[in-house]
Amino acid sequence: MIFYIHSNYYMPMEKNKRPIISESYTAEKFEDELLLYSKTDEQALYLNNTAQAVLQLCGDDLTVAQIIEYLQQHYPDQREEIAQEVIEVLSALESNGVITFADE
Amino acid sequence: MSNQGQCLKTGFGSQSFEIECNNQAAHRLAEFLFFDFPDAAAEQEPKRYDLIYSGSRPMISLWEGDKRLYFGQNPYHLSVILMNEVLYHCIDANRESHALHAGAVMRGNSCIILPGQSGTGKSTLTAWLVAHGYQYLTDELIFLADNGTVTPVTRPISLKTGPNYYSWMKLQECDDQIIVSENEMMVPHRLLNDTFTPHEPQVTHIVFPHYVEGVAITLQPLSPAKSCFLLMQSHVNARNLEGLGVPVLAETVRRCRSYSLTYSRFEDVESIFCSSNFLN
Repeated sequence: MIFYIHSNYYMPMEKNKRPIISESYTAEKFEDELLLYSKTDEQALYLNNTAQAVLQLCGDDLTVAQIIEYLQQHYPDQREEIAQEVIEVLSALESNGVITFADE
Repeated sequence: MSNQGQCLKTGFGSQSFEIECNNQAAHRLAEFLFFDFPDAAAEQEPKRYDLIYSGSRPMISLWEGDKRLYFGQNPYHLSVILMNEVLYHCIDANRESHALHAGAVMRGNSCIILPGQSGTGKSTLTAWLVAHGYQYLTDELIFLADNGTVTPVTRPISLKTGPNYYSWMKLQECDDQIIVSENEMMVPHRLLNDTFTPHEPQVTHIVFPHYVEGVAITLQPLSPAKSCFLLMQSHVNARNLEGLGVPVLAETVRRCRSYSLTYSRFEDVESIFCSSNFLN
């Protein structure tokens, strides 16, 4: 099964949760794009720039709120959109088993 | 492919096949299907089938041991079953190269592969390209080596029937060389382009075709990541390979130019594929 990550759905998410990256996915890097694939369940995901940035921050032991805050500081003119985009990406990553959430 | 008596021996890669034919008519059908298959290295026990024509209005049947795979009067239906059996075993036995559901053609030093699921129009586009000067490799399946070499499964082209197809195929005089059913047909590729020598070229272009009735043609360049992502959807033996074969597919797409093609009219396709700019 192959899924394509895109930003067209939204799920409520607790912002004090900490995303943890699953070890079952392997990354194939292409210049500014990324493919993730799981050898165990034969899934693949294409990540655009936003999704990549979020995934990278998931590896830095940050909470959802901290990820949003970090990106908002770097892209101040997109503050409004960033919060929703981050949650959409995290929801998609979680639903495809790339990350799980732990309490802070 | 070799013929010993009425037994047609063929194969692909490490998998060989023996098709025992009870008469000349049965043998002609087997030869029609597997004429361009190479002989296989005899690494594995051959898969054996019996192809039987009987009666004056022949009833035909296909057997694998005691198991009857087809019985009826339609050579097309039997051919589809036999070809699918053979392709399945070729793919299943392969642990070294990447089986991709794709058409493939070549011109000069360029090789275009056309990956896609059934219904995307890859066989029809392959046939059209072959009828317009490209050399045929396959309409269905390639094996991609780690270095990007394409080994095509060269077989008759399998197409949906329709009046528009006949107009550019110019097959009106060739009915006795085509196998047809209600809505589909198998066409020997030499009827569309008699220039054919077996090749195992390096893939240079990847085009993902999408036939959509009535749309204007678009040829959208794809990034390597998107191309690799789409290519994985046509990768049929991924589980046989290290890392699902992704590192090799990734290297291949980095070496190639990739496009998504949406089309409905072949007049539009001609403007792209028959111009020298596309392959240069």
